[in-house]
Amino acid sequence: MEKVVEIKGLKKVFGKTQALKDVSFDVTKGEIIGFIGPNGAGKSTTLRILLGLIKADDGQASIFGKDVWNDAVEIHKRVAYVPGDVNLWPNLTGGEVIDLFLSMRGQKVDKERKEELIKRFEFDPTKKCRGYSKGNRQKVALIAAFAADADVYIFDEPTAGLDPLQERVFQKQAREVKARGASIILSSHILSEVEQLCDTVAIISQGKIVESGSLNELRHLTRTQIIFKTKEDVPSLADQDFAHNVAHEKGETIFQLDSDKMAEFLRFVEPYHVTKLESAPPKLEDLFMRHYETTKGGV
Amino acid sequence: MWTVFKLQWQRLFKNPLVVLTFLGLTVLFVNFLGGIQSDQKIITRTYSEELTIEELDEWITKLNEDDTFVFEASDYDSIYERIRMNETSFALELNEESYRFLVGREDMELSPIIQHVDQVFSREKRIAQLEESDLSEAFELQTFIELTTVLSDDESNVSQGFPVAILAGVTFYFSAFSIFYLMINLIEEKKMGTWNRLIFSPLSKTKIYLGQMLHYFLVGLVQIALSFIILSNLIDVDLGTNYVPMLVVILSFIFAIVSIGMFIIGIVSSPQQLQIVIPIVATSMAMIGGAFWPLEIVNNRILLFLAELMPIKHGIQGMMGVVNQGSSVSEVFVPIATLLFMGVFFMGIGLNLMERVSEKSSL
Ligand SMILES: Nc1ncnc2c1ncn2[C@@H]1O[C@H](COP(=O)(O)OP(=O)(O)OP(=O)(O)O)[C@@H](O)[C@H]1O
Ligand SMILES: [Mg+2]
Repeated sequence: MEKVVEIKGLKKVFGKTQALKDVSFDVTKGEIIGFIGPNGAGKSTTLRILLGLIKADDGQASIFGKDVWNDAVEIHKRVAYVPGDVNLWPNLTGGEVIDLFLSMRGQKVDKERKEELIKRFEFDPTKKCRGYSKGNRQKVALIAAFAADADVYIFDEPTAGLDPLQERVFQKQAREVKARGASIILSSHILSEVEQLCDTVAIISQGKIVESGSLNELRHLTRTQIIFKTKEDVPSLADQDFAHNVAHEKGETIFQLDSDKMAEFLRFVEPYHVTKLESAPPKLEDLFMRHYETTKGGV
Repeated sequence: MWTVFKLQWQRLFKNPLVVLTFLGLTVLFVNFLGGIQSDQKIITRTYSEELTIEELDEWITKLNEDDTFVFEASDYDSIYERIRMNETSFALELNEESYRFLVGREDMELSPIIQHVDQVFSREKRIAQLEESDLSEAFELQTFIELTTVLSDDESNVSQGFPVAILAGVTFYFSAFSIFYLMINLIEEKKMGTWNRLIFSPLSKTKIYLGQMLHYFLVGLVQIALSFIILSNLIDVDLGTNYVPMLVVILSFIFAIVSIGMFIIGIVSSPQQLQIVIPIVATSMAMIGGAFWPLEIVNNRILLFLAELMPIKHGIQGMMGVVNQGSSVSEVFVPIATLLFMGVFFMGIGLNLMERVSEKSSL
């Protein structure tokens, strides 16, 4: 697959904080990558480096094979960006700002598409930006981004201010863009959003990428919840190293199974006359939470 | 670049108060300062103890024929009171056969007036004598030599040169103010984060800065042009038609000011601080540079040296050369070159400072 974004060994220090220690990941064409991690992990910093807003201390980052700092101007023609907190010129109207954003790209504005997006996001472009709520400011940036014909979209918590309905509009829009062959980097806190939308995820914690890969690959790292019932008592399940958090309830046993140890478990349990066996699909959240917890312990 | 340029204008039109205020202040100020300096003609109050009112009026009409001077009928008591209160420095007393000046305090204007009165008086006496003699029939009154009286020489230099200097000085001062104030926008954009929006666009930094500076440049130019047009129509200053050199001087001045502005916002990076720093810098620059009074009255060497460092001084000098002497571009080369040099110097440092700051702490 053609790689559009390549990041290798990025480092960035702000005064005494080492915001990025080692960040590497790639984005291929037509892929939506979820970029997740706890507060202060370095998501925004990574994205700002990608956008050429700040310079990395070390490492390489390129988009379309071009260096993000030196060839920023070239790259920006094909990249759209929506930050989590959109800042606008207070005395211009939303409509004016959307036009401005689009005209800065030097492309012809697709009026129909713009109007369509304004309608879909239920946005009122006639008011001054000063009076817009956080969500409405975000809509300005989102509409401008989606109305532009970009090849890479960089979203830094773009739905933080949107209501659930508008969030759905965003997801729909993102899928359309992906279908066109564009790539999206989506930094987010909202796991369900990432799970629904993304093909791959990169999890960052304390300035380092701790896990990355396709959602399916990562699910292997997670644990499946198993509920089962047997006629005969199962001895010492808790002693098995594939089982975690074993609990008994109304004669049923509930525990977490390492997702890649299913066969082992089945072999183990088979002799005891299984009468009920339920397994809940692994959740990314568990993986995510594990990293959250290590951060908390670390700080 | 044009997008940035357009954006700045868009913002300015929505909020033109600052620039309009400064334009208004320029007009007000120049009128005020210029009004004190020129304009007023000295009125010589005239009275008589012997002549009738009609006779006095007749004399006054004759004295007023030359419109450099103004004579006005009055009476002794009110004149005495005025001189005593130092409201008038002198007055004229006319009698049948003589005239007399009542002087309360020495005045530069006095001697040309005495001369004028003497002239009129002796002429009238001669005519009267002729009319009394038999020759009166054959005699025709003719003016052979047209005498024009102008107020004394050094006096006229000041009063002609001064309004141009003030006009240029005050106009430049307020336009510098406008430019500096608008530049706060740039810092605010950096603080608000909308600056990043510009950086994150397919525009190079050079183009973004150029767009911004072009905007300040044009605002300055429009303000100065408007001020000059309004003012030269309002007060009696003739700026002449020496347009090309004038434009070059003005453009060089604005360039220097925009650069100094960049330098200032390179050092002072919070809008609040700028609100304080800008008036101080602009005003002291104008005062030292001689925008409000002619530098000729300054004796202090240090101040005179400092004045050399002020763009406004060179701007005024250039304008005076262009307007008063009708200089060509090459004749006002020194002030222009000085301004351009200042421009390049401060722009270089300013941009460097600003980029260093933004690279360190870009949000
Ligand atoms: N301009 C800056 N100056 C100093 N420190 C900074 C700066 N920008 C970021 N940091 C620090 O770098 C670290 C990473 O910040 P970053 O904004 O990238 O986190 P994030 O993952 O986006 O967090 P969040 O989920 O809250 O948006 C934090 O510790 C932050 O304090
Ligand atoms: Mg962030």
